[in-house]
Amino acid sequence: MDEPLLAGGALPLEVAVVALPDDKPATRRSQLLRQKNFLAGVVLLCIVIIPVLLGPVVSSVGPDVQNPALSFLPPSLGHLMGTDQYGRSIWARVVYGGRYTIGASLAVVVLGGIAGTALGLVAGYLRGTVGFIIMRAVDLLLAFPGILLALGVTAILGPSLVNAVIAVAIVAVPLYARIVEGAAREVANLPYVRAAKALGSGPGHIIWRHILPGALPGIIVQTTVYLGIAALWIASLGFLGLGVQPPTPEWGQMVSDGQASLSIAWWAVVFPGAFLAAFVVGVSLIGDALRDRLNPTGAGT
Amino acid sequence: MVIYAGKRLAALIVLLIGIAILVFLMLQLIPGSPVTALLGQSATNPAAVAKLTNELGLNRPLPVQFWRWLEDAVRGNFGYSYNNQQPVSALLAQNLPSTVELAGAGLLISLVGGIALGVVGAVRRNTAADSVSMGIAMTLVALPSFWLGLVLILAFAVALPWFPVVGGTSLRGLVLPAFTLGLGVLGITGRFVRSSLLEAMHSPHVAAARAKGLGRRTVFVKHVARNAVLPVLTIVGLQVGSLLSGTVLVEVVFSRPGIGRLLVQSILSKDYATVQATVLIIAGFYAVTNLVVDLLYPLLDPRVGGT
Amino acid sequence: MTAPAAAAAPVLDVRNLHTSFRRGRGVIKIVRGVSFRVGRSASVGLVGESGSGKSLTALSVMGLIEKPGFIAEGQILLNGRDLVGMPAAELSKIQGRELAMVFQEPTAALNPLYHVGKQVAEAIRAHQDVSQADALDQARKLFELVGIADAGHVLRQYPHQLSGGMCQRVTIATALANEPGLLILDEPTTALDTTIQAQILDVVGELRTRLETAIVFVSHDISVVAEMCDELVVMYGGQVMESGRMDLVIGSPKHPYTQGLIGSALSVSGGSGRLESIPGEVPDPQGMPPGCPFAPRCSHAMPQCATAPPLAALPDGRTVACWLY
Repeated sequence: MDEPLLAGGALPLEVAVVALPDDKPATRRSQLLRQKNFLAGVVLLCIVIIPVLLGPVVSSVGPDVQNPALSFLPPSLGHLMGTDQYGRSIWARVVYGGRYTIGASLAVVVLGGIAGTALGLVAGYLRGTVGFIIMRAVDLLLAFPGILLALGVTAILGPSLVNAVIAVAIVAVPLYARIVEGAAREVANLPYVRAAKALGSGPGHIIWRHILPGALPGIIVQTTVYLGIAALWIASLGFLGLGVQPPTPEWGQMVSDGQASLSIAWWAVVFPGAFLAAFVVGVSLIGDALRDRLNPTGAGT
Repeated sequence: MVIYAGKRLAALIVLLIGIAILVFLMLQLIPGSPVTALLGQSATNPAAVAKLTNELGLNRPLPVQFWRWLEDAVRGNFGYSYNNQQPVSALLAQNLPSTVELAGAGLLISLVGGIALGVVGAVRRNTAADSVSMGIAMTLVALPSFWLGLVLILAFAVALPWFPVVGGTSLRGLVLPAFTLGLGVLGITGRFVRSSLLEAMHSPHVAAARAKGLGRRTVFVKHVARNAVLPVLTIVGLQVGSLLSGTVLVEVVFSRPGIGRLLVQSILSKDYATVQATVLIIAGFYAVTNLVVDLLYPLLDPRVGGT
Repeated sequence: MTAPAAAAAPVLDVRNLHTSFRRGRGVIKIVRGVSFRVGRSASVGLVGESGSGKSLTALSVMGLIEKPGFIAEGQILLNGRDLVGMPAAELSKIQGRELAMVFQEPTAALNPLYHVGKQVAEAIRAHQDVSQADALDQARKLFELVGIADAGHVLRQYPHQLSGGMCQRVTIATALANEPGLLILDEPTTALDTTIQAQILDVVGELRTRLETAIVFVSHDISVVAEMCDELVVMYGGQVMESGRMDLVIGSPKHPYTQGLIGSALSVSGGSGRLESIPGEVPDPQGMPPGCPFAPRCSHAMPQCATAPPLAALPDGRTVACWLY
C-alpha cells in the first residue's frame, strides 16, 4: 500500500478549530462534484423524460401500428430504434412505454410514500404500543428480500399494471416507514417540539407542523432513491409477465418481447432497457446530490 | 455471548413464525377459496375438491389450519403441485442446488469486485480513480438486471461466442448468470467498503499505530482493514437478500433451473402451493443468513455481545 | 539556547520548522518557523492556545504529517539525524524506538478490536526480536511500572473495558516500551477528569525521574506545564514567542503574550480576583498578517511589529521574539 494514510485522526483540537485542512479540500471539491452529479443526473433525466412527455410530437408513428413488411429493421434514420417482429417502431414504443414505466413508478412512490410516511410519523411520534406494532409489522415486511414481496402480492392479485403498482407500493411502505420513524423520533426529542407539547398542542397539530417538516429532507432523498428502485421493479414485473400485459408497451415488457429474437434484433432489447437504465441512473445522481445538500452528515465522504 | 446469541435466536424464531403467518394468509387472500386455488385446473372435479377440503381441514378455525400447515411445512411437506404432478418438496429439492450455486457465485463476484472498487475509491480518495470507481458502482446498481443479463448475452454469447446463450448446468454456463447477479449487487458493496475504509483510515488509533513504528503495510492490515471489515459484514448480510431475490430475474433470463424461476412459473400457472413454499424458503433463508451475520459480529468485535 | 544541560548534544533540535497543508490550489501555513531544543533528560513544555500550531509541531517531530500536510522547510534533528525527508522505512525504525508519543484521547488511540496487551506487545515486537510471549511478559512489567494494579488481568482487557485513566497508562506504557530517548505527550490529560489528570501527571513525573527520558509536554494549560517541566516554549500563531527556563519565564515573562497567558492562569487559580483575559481572538492561519502574529492583540504593539521580530537571545539564556527587546 503505497498510498499515504492520513495522520488525520491525531490532528489535534486546535487544527480542528481552524477547520481541519484535510477536510476542506474534500468538501469544497466534492461540492463541485455534487454539482456535476446533479447536472449529469438532470441531463440524463431530460434525455429520457422529454421524449416521453412529448409523445406524439417526437414520434410520427403510433406504438401499436403494425407493418409486417417492416419487421426487424435495424436502427436507421427512418426508424431511430428499428422495428420489432410486428414492424412496430421501437422508438414509438419506447416513447409511449415510458409513460407506463415512469408513471407507474411515480404512482408507487406517491402511494407508498404517503402510506409509509403516515405510519412512520405515527410510530415515531406516538411510540408506545401502537408504535411497537407498526414497527414490528415493518420489520416483518422487510424480512422478504427485494422483489419477493411484490411477487407474492402479484401472485395473489393477478398480473396487471395496476396490481404491479400496488405490489411495489406495498414494498415501498415499510421502507418509507422506517426512515420516517427514525426521523420522527429524533425530531420529537427536539426542545421546541417538547415545548409545543407542553403548551398543550394536540398530537395531530404537532405532527403536521413540526415533525413532518423535520422528516421532510429524509423523505425527499429517499423518494429519489425509491423512484429508481420502483422503476426497476415495475419493469422487472413487466419483464416477467406479471405487470403490464401485451400489447401495451412498457419498457420491461418490451425487453421480454425482444428476448426471443435477441440475436437478430438486438435493438428491440437494448433500447428500452437503456432508457430504463438512464432513468434510474439520472434519478440516483439527483438523489445523491440532494442527499449531500440536505444531509451533511451523510456517509458519502 | 450466550445471552446475546439466545436473544438473537429467539428473535429469529419469532420472525420465522411471522413470515409463516403471512405466507399462510397469502393463500387465504386469493379470490375464490383456497381449495380452488390449490387445485387449479382440477378444481372442477368434485371428488378432488372434497378430498382436499378434508385434508386441509377447511372446516376448522383458521389458527388450527395454520398450525397444521406449519407442522407439515416443518416436516417438509408443502403440498402437491398439480401443475407439475409432483409433491412441492420434490420440486424444491430439484431446484434448490442450482440456485445456491448461482447465488454463491454471484456473492463471490460481488465481494471481490465490491472490495476492489471500494479500496480503490478509499485509497485514491478524491482523485479521478475515485470518481470513476464510484461512478461504476452507482451505474451498476441502477442497471436493470434482466437487461444487463441480455446485454451480456449479446456481447459474450452472440457477438463473441465465448459462453452458451442458454445457461446450462456447466461451469461455463454459470459465468454469465453469475456475473449478471453479482454486478448488480457489487455497486452497493463497493460504496460501503469505501466509506468504511475511509472511516477506519481516519481513526486516531491508526496514527498511534504509526507512532509505534509499525510499517505502512502492517498498519493497513491490522489497524485499518481489520476495523473496516465489521460494517461491511452487515452489508454482506443484506446483499444476500438482494442476491436471493435477484435469482428470480437472472434465472428467467438465462432459462436456468432454480427456485427463482420456479417461483415465477408457479405464479404464472397459479400453482399456489409452490408459490407459498418458495416464498417461505427464500424469506426463511434470508432471515437465517442475517442471524448468522449477527452471531458472527461478536466474534469480530469485542464491543458487541457482552464480552 | 536553553539551560546549561545543552552543553551535551541535545536529543532534539528543531530548526526553523515550517509545516503546511495543501488546500485546493493554495497552501495554508500552520507552523511558521519554529525552533527549540530539548536536552538529554530535559523536560520542555510546549504551550499555546488552540490554533498556535503546537500539536502540529509535535506531530511533525513525530513524523506523522502526511498528505495533504507536508513539512515545507526546516530540520528536525533527533540525536543529530535529520528526520525531515527521511524515507518512511527508516523513520519507522525510529518511531517507537528513539522517540515516542502519547496522544490526547487515550481510548481513541487504542484499537478497539485487540486487547491492550497485544497492542503493547506490538510496539515491543516492532523493534525487538522477541517472541509474543516474551513481549507480553515485558508488557506486564511495563504496566506495573506505570502503576496498573493487577497487570496480568488488564493485559487481556479490551480498551472499552478500561477507564480513560487506565487507557492512558496503557498508552504511556506503550510509548516507553522501547526506552525512547524522547517522549512527546500531546495534551495527555485534557480528555481526563481532574483527579485522574493528577494521577497521570504523577505517573509521568515518576517515570521521568526513573528513566531519565527527555519529554516534550504539549498543553494549552500553562499551570500544568509549569508543574511538570523545567523549560518552557511559548507558541502563538505558529511561531515561538518566548522560551527559556521555566522559573525564569514564569517569574518574569518578557513577551506580552506570555504575560497575558500567565496573567489569566494566575487569575483562575485564585490570584488577583479579577478575571484577566487577553482581548481578541486566535488568528486564522489563512488570514495571518505579516509580521508578529500577536500584534493585533498586543497592548504594546508598535509600527515595527509589521515585520516579524526575530527570536533574540537574552543574557540569561532565554529567547524572545519581540521588538521590545
